[in-house]
Amino acid sequence: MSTKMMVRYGFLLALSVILSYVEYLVEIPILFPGAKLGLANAVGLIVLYYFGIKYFSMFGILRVLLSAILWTGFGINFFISLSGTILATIMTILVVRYTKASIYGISISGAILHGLGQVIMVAILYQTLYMLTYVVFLIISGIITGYLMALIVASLICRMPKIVN
Amino acid sequence: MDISLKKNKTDLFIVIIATLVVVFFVVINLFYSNSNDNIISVYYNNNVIHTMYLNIDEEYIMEKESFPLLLDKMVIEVKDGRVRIKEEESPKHYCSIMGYQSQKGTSIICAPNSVMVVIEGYEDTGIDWTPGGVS
Repeated sequence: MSTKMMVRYGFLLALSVILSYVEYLVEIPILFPGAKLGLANAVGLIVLYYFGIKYFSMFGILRVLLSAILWTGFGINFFISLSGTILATIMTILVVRYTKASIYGISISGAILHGLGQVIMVAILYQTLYMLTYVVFLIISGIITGYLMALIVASLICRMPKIVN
Repeated sequence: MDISLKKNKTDLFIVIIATLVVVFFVVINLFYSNSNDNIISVYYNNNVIHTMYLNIDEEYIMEKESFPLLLDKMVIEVKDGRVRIKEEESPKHYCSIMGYQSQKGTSIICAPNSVMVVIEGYEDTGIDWTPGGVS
């Protein structure tokens, strides 16, 4: 990766950390309690589009780690966030590699798996299956927020100057 | 790598699969919910500390003095066949924002207070889905 690319990657990483913090601070009441738009994940989609799978796979994990170092700490929330991010990243890589899905399909599947990963971690931490009843709401909100984020990213990419040469 | 910015059939396929999973979970929930029990279990630090009944109105008060992991006093209310966390102290107040719940198998998880309120009735489907085994 050239220095120019590295700087741009760093900028995008910083942007996603800031966006996740903004979303943490300013609760946007949508759909269900706890459901978020996933603005930080939208930046991840931009990274995927311009930098490819290799750099995208590190992006989410770096964002969660930086957020934990800067403000959230390494408590339960960290592990819940990390599990969601890891599962979403794996799903995104699989969808990109093995299907012809557009940015919409990639975003929706990632959003759904992000929520699912978090639910699985809560189920593990609290040793309960009851959280699984929340899966229905998570899938519905994942479809909606995933679609919205893809819509934003697609229009941004069309309007922005190409950030990778 | 070339990612298309225009919707295509694969995207629709992904949404259909997700919708089918939702329908599956809803059907399983309806099919396996047991209409005979009305038990609500209150968990504190992963242990059942109190049992309530959906058909009996009750207010259960948890004081911080007795339950040190609480951020402050918590009140759990059962009223008209529904349960809610009426009062609690947490950063985002998700537990009280969730409001009344009455569906069997539903849980209100208040992680910051280490409290979970579960409406019992979700039966084991026979699927070996052990939470501890996933990791």
